[in-house]
Amino acid sequence: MIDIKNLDLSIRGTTILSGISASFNDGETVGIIGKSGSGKTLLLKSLAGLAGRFPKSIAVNGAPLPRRKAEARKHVRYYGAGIPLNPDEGLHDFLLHARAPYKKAFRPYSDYDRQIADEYINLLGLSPFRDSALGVLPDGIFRLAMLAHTFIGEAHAIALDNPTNDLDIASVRMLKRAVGRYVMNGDHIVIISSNDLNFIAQAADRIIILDGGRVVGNGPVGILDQETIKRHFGTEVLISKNVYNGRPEFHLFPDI
Amino acid sequence: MRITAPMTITTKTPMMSDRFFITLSALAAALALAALLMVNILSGAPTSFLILTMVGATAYIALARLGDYDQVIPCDHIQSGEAAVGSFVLFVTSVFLTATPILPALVFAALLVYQLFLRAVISTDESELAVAGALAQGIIVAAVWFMITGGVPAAARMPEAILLGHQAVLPGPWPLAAAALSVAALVLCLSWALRPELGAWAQGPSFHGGAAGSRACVAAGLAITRALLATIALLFAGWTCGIVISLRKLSRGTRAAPLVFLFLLIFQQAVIMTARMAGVWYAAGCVLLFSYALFLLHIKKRTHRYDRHQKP
Repeated sequence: MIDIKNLDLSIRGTTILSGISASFNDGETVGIIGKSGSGKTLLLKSLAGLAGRFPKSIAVNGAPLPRRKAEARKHVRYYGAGIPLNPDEGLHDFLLHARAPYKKAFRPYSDYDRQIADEYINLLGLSPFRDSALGVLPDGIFRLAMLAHTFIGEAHAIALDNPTNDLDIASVRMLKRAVGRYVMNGDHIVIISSNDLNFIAQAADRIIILDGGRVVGNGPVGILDQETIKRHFGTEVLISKNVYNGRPEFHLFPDI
Repeated sequence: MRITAPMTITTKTPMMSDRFFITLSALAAALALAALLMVNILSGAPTSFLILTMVGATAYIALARLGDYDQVIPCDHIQSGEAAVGSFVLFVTSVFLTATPILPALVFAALLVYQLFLRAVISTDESELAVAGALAQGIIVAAVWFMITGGVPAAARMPEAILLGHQAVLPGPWPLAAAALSVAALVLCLSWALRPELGAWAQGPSFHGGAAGSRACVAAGLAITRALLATIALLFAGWTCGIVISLRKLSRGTRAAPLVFLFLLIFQQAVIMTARMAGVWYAAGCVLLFSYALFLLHIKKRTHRYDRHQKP
């Protein structure tokens, strides 16, 4: 479980996050939404120890988030920043490296390491590319590979920042399945920040709405009604129900 | 909770045709190497000299292996200018100093400083690194030219020593060769044993997971090791290798590694043969030509690092 209490973050005198309090339970998928500049990315980075240090504001299982970034990322791994520097490396080898923090020096990767890597390679449809060099992967596949690396690292929580960027509709579906697999056993947390409201509404168990660096909404996906969307995003949408699971689906009105 | 269900683990295993091809190529390469060695010995090249150049080639192979993990300086020591800087230091120190035991130490120190310069100043882009290396070579050639025309007495065998190695100026070459071989072998073994850790490190801080301090330690270790290996390669083998780009492309897979080493030795013996038959300057020209030709082919064939949206 991750708890945030009164988290404030300012950059060069500008307040980005103000008095954020929220909790994330094990086995839960939480979606963070808000218009651009509302502080979604910085909140995720703060959780992963990548933006500021908040030993008193962020606690993982009751203990403060470690001050060292390397330690913090074992608890919360952030997806969205950075690309691998060696484009010549094969995809499978690269994904196995996500298990490097768990292995002892001079020992090969364990069967479990290979098993978990293979599982996410299959889940995210990367099998045809497993021997391809990273530098030649198409954009969408490259993004899926970076997502797979995040999943395979098996941190207690993963913070996915706009994970649907560059993904086609089939890849988004595979991503949703991978998210479900990650939290399936009830010992991991997935936190997703996205501008894709339809994906969030389908994948998340709970929604947190940010506006101006503050939490202005926190609840099940049902809180996303027309009035809430208009208030925080400044646009009118038509909301329908998904025929299979009854979750909301958002449609823009055509320009007339 | 961990997954306990059994799952098929697929690993890369070479096909029978690959094994056959590699074995056949290794046999052919060994025969070609034996023939070239025979020609060089018959043409009067001392056997000890030929063996010492192979020690340098081993260090060079280790240097190429490190290149797989060193995203800062991935291209050849000729293109990145390390060979030029090392040779310049050897030229200057050979002219002004008579105490040969400190020569290797001076070359190492100069290359270490140059490593820091490359890592701190030059872009990681290979083509920009090559441009910087070519500039370094140009500056050094000009400096040497001014020194010679200014009356500094150049050693008569200096061009030959720069191209083929400086074994003659080494104090007690055999103990030093044994030490150099040990260092190269140790680096090769460690780089093999630690390839997962090095591979993860090479992908950058977002994918490594280690602390900033440990990343800095690995970076410093790589810089020192690279300077050391470049020094060994330069002292024992001069510029006779210089084809690391193509070596790196060939060196995927354990079975291909001995084959790559054989190819390097063949190239080296061919350069020595050219030097003995046509002269040192022709051989030097050939090495530079090969080195840059392979580099340009590699750069042109290569897909751009990532698309424009994903540049680091």
